[in-house]
Amino acid sequence: MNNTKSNSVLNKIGSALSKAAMKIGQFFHFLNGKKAYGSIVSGIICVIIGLLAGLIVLLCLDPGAGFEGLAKLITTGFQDGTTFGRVLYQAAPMMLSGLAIAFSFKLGLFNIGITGQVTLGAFCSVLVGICGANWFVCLLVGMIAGALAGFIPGFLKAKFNVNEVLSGIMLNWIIYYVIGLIGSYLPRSFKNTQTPAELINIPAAARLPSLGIEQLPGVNVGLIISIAILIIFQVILVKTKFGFELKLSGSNKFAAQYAGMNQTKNIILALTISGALAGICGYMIYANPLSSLRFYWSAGQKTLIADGFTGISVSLIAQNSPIGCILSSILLTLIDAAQTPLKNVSSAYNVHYTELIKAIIIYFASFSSFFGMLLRHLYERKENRIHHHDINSDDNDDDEKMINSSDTPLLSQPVNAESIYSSDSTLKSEDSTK
Amino acid sequence: MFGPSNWGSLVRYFIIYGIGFILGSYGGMFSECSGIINIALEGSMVVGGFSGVIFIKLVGQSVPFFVSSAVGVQLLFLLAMIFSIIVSILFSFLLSFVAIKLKADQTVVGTAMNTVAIAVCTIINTAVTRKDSPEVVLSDLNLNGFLTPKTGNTFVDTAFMGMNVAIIISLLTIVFLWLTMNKTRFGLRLRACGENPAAADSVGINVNKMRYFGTAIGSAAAGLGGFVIFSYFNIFVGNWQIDALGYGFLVLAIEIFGNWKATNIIFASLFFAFFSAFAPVFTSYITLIPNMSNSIFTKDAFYNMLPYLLAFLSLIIFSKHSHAPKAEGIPYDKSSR
Repeated sequence: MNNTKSNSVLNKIGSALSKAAMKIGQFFHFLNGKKAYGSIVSGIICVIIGLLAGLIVLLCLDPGAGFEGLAKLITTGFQDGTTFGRVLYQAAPMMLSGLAIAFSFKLGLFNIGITGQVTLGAFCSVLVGICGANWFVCLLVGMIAGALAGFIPGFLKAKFNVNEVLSGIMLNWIIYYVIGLIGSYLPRSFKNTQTPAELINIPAAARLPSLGIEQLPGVNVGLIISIAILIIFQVILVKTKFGFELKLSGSNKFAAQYAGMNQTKNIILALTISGALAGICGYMIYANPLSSLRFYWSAGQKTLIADGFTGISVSLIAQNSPIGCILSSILLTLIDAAQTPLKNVSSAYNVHYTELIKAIIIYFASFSSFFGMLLRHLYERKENRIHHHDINSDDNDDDEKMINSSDTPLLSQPVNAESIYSSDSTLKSEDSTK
Repeated sequence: MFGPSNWGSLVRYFIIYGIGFILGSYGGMFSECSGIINIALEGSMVVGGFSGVIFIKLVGQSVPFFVSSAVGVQLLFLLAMIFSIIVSILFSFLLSFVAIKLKADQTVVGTAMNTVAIAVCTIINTAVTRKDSPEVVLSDLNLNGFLTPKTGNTFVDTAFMGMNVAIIISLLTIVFLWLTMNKTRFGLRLRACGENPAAADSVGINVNKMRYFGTAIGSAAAGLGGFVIFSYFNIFVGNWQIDALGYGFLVLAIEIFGNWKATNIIFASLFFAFFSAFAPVFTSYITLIPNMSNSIFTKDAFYNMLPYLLAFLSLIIFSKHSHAPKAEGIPYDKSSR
């Protein structure tokens, strides 16, 4: 008795679940028609998986505080104006670095040298800022420095077929140490007095001007510039000939070559533009009105600036869409904002948990196109089944018989043909005997 | 003067870096020859090195036998080595499954895995030590019982200071991997899967299985290399950040430099190992000299940069003549045969 009861309950739950799955499937099918929505959906799936995996880790370490930790993780960014302002102004450079990666990805290039480009852009612009330039000049200098650092792997890829991933990684370290070398020759007045391997803060005149919104302190022109750049690039990619050339070269190199597109030029241009974006990102990291971040190059520590690598994550979650980069960079900064609050929830947690959650999201995002494909497959299979079901219920038995009867002559046809052929052969043989 | 103790420590660093680089680049070779680009070598080195070191720390803390006696320490290193190899093999499935079954972009997955590796290791370390800093500290264990010679000769004593059983087994592993790649049927089949998977499949080789094997062996080798470098420097240099300092990427450059050939890779690794060893030894020597001029050749940043700069230049020179496995990075699709 008990068993049957539980079975029926299970069945009910099962049917409810399958209905829900069908509804979700239909929803996704509606979205699948539009490409952008499909990538948004798979991005969201990655984020949900990442958060769930993070929740499991949090629960394992401290079962009591896991859900509170998750709630902190999601809500901290919105708790007040100061925090949300910080989320916004930190997201501005991040979306540019995400765009830098996404843009080179359109050509099938993986600009992992972005860290070096960000570092060089930041170093040069901060130096110029300390020398007394205003914010716009600093931004331009950062852009040019980054573009230069992006040009090198692009040129090498186009002319010498050097793998851009490897040359980029090597350049990251070379730039890091070259800055260390230059830094050791800089005059004392440029450097922080306590720690000599550190530049002084960029002066107020060289910082990005604040927008002056009282509720969101720190939000500056950088946010508007970044969003404008992202929208411009979206337009370039979708509407212009250059964007088309990039995308075609990325998806089929040989077709692009056959159509007379200049591969060498495109590769160099894509990586240089990517580097320029990274350079602006580097300037923005150090130049927001509230920042007390100083540029440092301590050779003993051997750590690269992490902001370049976050660009990779931003672009992965955004599925290489410039507009998606805006959303994903805000998401990542929201998670970042929860670093210390999460630590305060329980003694078992520390500041590195947000990194773990981000890493899991990035890992799933790296093959997220698979999720989109899976959903489409699932839905198509379901749709086919529904379709079959409809045919069976509408058609009468007579129709089925009709189909069967129409099948039989088809099946018998080859037999007939064979018999005709055999009769022919017999005729021929008869002829030969004559 | 650049005395015998300096030469000794140069040789010491050279041995450790050499073994680490050869194993790391062999890791890349095995996985790329099977047709899978392994950018996650850095992650493998981090995971392999960290898991071994944390194993030493935890087991050493709880079982005094492993710390006190010479046999115990060597046994501890052996067990840690096996543990780190197992962990790196498990780690490799994160890449191979996604690359083979889900046909994802291998470069992107590899990069994501590097992030995962560092994040997971940091979390485990901070959870174990209950501290916020992402550093592994072994010095409080007071391990002694390494295979240090006491000949009285300064050069020999510093050169072979603190050798452990893992280093010796690593040397044997290098020989074993060389033989596997060059002299066995398995090595030949692995190369076939990277060059022309359709042809390999047509003669009955299971391409995907070979790729799983290739990535697993590669990751295990890189993990072992990471363990040799991490464990050695953690004990003799002190704290070690959870980060392979870009060695995982350096070995990829070495692999291209060595043109995906087992013998060439050994020479390329030794070349880079020399410059990597040269930087810390020479800079520590130079800082002791009073009244040095302020030239570029006295800065440690210059010497630290040298291996990367040379790798970069060698990439430019050798990339044109390099013959990468043809099917590298392309997921094998049976229907395209």
